[in-house]
Amino acid sequence: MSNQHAETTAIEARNIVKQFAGHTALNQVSLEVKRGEFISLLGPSGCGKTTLLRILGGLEHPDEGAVLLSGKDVSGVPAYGRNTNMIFQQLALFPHMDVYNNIAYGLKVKKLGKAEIKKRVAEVLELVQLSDYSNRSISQLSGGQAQRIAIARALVNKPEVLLLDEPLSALDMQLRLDMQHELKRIQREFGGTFIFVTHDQNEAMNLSDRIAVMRSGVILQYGTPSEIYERPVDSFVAKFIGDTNLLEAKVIESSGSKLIVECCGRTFEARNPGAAGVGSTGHLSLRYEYVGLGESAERCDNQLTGKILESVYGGASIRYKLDIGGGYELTANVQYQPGNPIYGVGQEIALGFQREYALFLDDSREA
Amino acid sequence: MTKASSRPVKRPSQSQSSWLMRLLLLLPALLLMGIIYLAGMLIFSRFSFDAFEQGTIVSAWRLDTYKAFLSDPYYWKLIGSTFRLALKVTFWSLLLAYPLAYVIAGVRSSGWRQAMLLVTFMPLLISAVVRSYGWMIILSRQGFLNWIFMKLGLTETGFNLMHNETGVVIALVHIFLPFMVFPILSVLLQNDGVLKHAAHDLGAGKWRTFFTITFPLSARGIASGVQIVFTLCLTAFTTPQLIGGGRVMTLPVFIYQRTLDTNWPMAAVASLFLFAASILVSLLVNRSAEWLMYRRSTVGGR
Repeated sequence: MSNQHAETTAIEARNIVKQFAGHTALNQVSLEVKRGEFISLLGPSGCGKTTLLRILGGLEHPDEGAVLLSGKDVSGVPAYGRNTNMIFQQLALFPHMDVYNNIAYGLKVKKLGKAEIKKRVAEVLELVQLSDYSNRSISQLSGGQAQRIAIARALVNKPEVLLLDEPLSALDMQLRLDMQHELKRIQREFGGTFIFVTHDQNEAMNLSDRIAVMRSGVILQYGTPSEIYERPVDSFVAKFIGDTNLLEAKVIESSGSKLIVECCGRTFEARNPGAAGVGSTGHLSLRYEYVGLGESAERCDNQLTGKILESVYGGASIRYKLDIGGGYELTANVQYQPGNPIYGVGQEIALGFQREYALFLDDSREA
Repeated sequence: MTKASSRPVKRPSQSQSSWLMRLLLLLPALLLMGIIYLAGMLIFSRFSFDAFEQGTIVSAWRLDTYKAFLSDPYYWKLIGSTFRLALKVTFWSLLLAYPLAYVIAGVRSSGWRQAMLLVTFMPLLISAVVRSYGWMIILSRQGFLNWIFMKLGLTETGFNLMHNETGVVIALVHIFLPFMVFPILSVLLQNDGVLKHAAHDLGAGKWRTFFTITFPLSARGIASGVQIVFTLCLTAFTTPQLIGGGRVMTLPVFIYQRTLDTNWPMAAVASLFLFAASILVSLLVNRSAEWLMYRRSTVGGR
């Protein structure tokens, strides 16, 4: 995508409210996606991510709020009046048509000439690398091929925004990883705006420029993968993306971004990403890989000792579960290369972590 | 080791016993079909080669009855009116059943759907004889419908709704409607909303979606419904006999009369003809359903 368009907004949702039979599926959700961006809506099932996607595509209509496509209000426009296309979780390829007619469907609706349709179908089949499959019937396709045809059927219409509703969830692990690369490549070559719904945090991290983490009908955090991983706004986001130790904590001293918190019967220095003041209660979030053991604990702001309860060898890293006294446990994920020490179960060991990696997450933020 | 090596020996006997089991389970149905259906057919086929002379059956191996049946224009007229009746009933049932099935399939509340299914299903709970008498009350010259027509001033003496084809068609459509609704409903429910959504998403409006997606994909259901209703009509006896009052002559009524006359050879020939015709119609309908589903959207689409 050329850079002069990078800053313009492709699609925007403003204060969307959607209720189903008294249950609020979306509560005042706003989302803005830039042209050429690949974003993910990430959250557990029932968080409203699919509903939001369907509202963006016009398959559902919001009770309140507006959807703007390239700055134009399309809230009242049904799916067949919008220049967005969706790839459904079930793919929804038309079983009574062959590959060619599936892909050509949208173009025929637009009443394009036969030669033009033929050309564009051939182009998009090349993009998804299935040029020879034009005459295949849908039942003859493998899972991965059907996936690509579904992508081709949507992209051939050159949508302003492509909406993807967990399209990879039915594939097995290896195929899924392949298709992730494939999606990235297609987006690079095609240059469109992609909105991807998933409940798989790895998938979201691998694919997205930005991730919107959702829970119970609201967006908790919208940011780049590194922002969300390194600076989660609350303990739910911290726990949902990556592995983290969450320890109950209370602020006893506050000076700017530096906090002293009471936690596990001790005091630790921690970082304050929000506006927590003295007396705030919440959780200390400490990623497994930020806990140092043995020598690497010596330079840390916070130091303590623990006893190894469990060690799990994972090839590139080893995961230790530690007893730090008072009934509290911590998990540490230590990079491992042959020759590095491996600690045995029962061993007493020094452990520590830096202040800037220990985030205090204020619980009062959570509704 | 011994266990592993003994396994391959055991397997064939296991599959044998399951084969035997299946046969045993099938036996009651097979016996019933074999004795009542197949044997009946064979006996009747044998009668078709006999001769009928001066009111008695003469045992023989002759094709005279076949020749008589196929060469006499009277019989062809009879065949024609039987097929015309079946065609009319099938046409009207399809016309009434498709929208009904479409609406039932679209109902979201399961309570309403159950209620609508029950109403549709209801005619099947009453015997054909009772239903036919019911229709006689409604259709006769002093009946309910004509009473309304006369009140409305449409007619002074009432329309002829009974003892003619119109009455028989009305009654048969009512009786056979569920057989058309259910197969169509089942395919409409199978092709869940996601394909419709996909078509909308690709820009197709409601009508286009219906004609390019919903309708072709329900072709199988239509075909089953048409097959069932058409063959049921070809072989319908009670209703044409009662509502038609002997004035609507169809093959089944004809067969019944020949059987009473003890002209069994003719009854047998007509029955076999009806049987062959039913099978032929089924095959034809299946083929055209395939065409409706696939041909149109692959070759024709180029």
